[in-house]
Amino acid sequence: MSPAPKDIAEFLSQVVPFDALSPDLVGRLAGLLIIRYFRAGDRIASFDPPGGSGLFIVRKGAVELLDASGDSLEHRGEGELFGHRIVFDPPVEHYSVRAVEDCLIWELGQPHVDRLVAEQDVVSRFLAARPAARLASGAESTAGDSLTHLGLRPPVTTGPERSIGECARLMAEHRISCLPVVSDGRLLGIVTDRDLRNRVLARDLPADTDVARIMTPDPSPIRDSAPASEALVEMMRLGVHHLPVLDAGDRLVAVVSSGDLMQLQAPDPLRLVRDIARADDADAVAHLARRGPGLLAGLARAGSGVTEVGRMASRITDACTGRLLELAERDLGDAPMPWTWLSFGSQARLEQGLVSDQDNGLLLAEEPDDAAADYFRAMAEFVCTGLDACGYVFCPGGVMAQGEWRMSRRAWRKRFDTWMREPEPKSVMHCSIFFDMRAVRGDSAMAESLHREVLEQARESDIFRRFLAAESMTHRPPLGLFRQFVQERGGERSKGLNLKKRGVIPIVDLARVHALEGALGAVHSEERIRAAGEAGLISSGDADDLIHALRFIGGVRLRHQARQMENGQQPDNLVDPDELSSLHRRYLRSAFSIVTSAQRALAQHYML
Amino acid sequence: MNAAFLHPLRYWRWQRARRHVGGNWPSPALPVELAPLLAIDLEMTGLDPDRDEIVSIGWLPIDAGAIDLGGAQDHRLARSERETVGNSATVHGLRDCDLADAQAPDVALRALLAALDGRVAVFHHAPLDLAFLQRALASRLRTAWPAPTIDTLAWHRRRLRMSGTQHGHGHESTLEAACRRHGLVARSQHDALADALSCAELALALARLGHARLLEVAQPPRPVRDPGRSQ
Repeated sequence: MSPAPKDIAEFLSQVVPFDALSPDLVGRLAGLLIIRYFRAGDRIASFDPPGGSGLFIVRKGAVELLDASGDSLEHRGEGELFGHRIVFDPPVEHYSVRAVEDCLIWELGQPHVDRLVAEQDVVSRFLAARPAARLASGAESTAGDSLTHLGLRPPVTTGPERSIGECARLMAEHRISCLPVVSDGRLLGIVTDRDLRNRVLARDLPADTDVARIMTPDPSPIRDSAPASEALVEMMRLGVHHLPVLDAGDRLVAVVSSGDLMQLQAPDPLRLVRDIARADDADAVAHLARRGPGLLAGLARAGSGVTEVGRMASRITDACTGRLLELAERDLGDAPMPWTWLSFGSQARLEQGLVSDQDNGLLLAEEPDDAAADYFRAMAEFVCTGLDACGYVFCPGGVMAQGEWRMSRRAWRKRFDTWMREPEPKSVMHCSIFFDMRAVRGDSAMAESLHREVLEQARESDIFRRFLAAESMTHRPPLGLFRQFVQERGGERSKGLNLKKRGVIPIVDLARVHALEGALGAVHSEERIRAAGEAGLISSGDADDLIHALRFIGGVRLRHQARQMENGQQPDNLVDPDELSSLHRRYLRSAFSIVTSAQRALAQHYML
Repeated sequence: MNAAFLHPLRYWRWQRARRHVGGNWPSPALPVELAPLLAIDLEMTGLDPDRDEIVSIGWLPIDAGAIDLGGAQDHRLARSERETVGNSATVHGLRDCDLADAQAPDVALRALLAALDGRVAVFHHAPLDLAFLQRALASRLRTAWPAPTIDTLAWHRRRLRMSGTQHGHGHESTLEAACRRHGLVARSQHDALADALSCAELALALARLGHARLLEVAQPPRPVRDPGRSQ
């Protein structure tokens, strides 16, 4: 193996996808490169087809990729690649490359590329034709660590035939607060400190009782491949502090505690949710909730993905809503009939940002008489006002339970019926968020049956879905004719890219159209897209692309907002492309072109 | 042949030197950007070929404008017993202990001669490196320097003069400064192989600027008095 100057490997190790390879391998690759010099205007290479004649890296200078007729497709600069298959929009079969500045170009010969692709997943994924695969590999470095990286130790366990007394001594000896009950490597149940107190001491059970009688059977487990943040969300959902961790073969490998996760994630949304659930009055709820955005920004900075942060944000909103409803019931007394508190929009989809306004409604089992109407009005006003104090400001569009959106199930059903039977552009725009519906508190079965009926009707109503599809096209990704970014304009200076309006919302809208087309029960946009892929409404490749694009755009927006919060600014959705690294700019461009193609496909499907 | 016609005296000198040395040289009419080259750099204990020694030699082949890192070699030379690296360690970063596993100079020099076969050598500031190499070749292998050489420093200066650019002596002429001026990677490593690479990149940039032929920028070796074979 020939030596190479140190700076070669240093530079190579910063170029995606080589940045993901071991220093050893990068060092060896450095010794295989060929370096060429080109002057501005020189033709460097022609790739027909791309992907078979080596991989090229711009070390110095800049190049321009050209289509068959010599028109510019895009520019690439230092640290960027060409020679592989690149997805352009519209697609081109082959491209050629010309130097636009004096350039030093590195080449890795095809045999070396072939071997690298065969041996390294990161590289093969990167060089795959789909840009989304590239987004995924680019995002990986910022994704949260999986549980396996937490360094969890194999747990102390017991068999089901041990007595409670022995188990208590075992726990004391190992200083653990949680003991899994295992038979033949299979997890049967789990015993915690609290179980010993609540199920043994409080009930005067003798110490020689079998542990199997007091354990929590079949506790909800989590896979060791799951990211730590997912474990945290799961704990928040279940209201527990320990989760058994199973490997791919369903064997217990560890028990992860909220404490373990906290080492990883300095801020503590789990405790916040718990504290909110115990708050004494609306003021206390509001006081606690105001800490939420800061905690979420911290999580975002610590590397949690936009999906996890969105879920946690929604869980915090749920906790506030839930506690305020309990406080309302405490003051108002028992409700005169079954009810369901509904959330709509991003809270329902579990996709909330760092700050969010409220979109909610109240679903009542039957038409209320005057007394019942008074009761629920008071309840809605108490909760909506409380949420406003929490920082979830009143919905500008008035979609709130304290407004008109407090109705019997029959009235809700009639509303949806009218929207779908006589659609018009304005009503479609207004009603679309109601199709993202989730029960927060109360009788959730009632909400589910309503949701199901509405979905079935939407599937039958082609005209309505056509309106909805047309509506979803009104927000276009900010790409110009030559794939350059189109910035929002206001006054004389450009304000940046609106990532919400032109990135996230188009994808969310697309996901909703597909969900209604297939009467898919999922509400979370990622799940909707995945379900649409499984149902064959879109190709599974397109589904993957859209999910990655959504995560990437959402991630950029989230980090932008987290940074603004840390600087004491009000978070917004306008990102200046210049504040992004050149790599992220490129990824963002790919993500936007995925959205554009998906919109085009939808337009074709509905003949818009 | 065009080159011979334009530069009859140089052509005649080139052919005479080739007959004299008897080496395998590329055609003098080849444009530099297409010629087989070998970019070489030395690290020495000082600047005096009579007193100082070569510490390391690095080189890279260039074929038709492509620097092949796969052909790079980097040799640390074992020192004669009496000498230590001394103060020069502050420049090239090689301490005596780094040279403990170095090769006998003969091995490195033989490898260099093999790599040079059919190629034109490229140095930055050729006279100094050549003086060291000629001395080492004569005393170790009883042979003379066999190849034509291109000096990127002289070439770069000529270009600056031609373009009417004033150049202060010193700073503008270092390899690093010359590379920066041409928009290349400006390395400041003082490592033989890294400097050889900078020298190779500079040669490619200079070659593409002027489309010069070998005959115009490469010097055939001067006939040297060979102490071993005189008379």
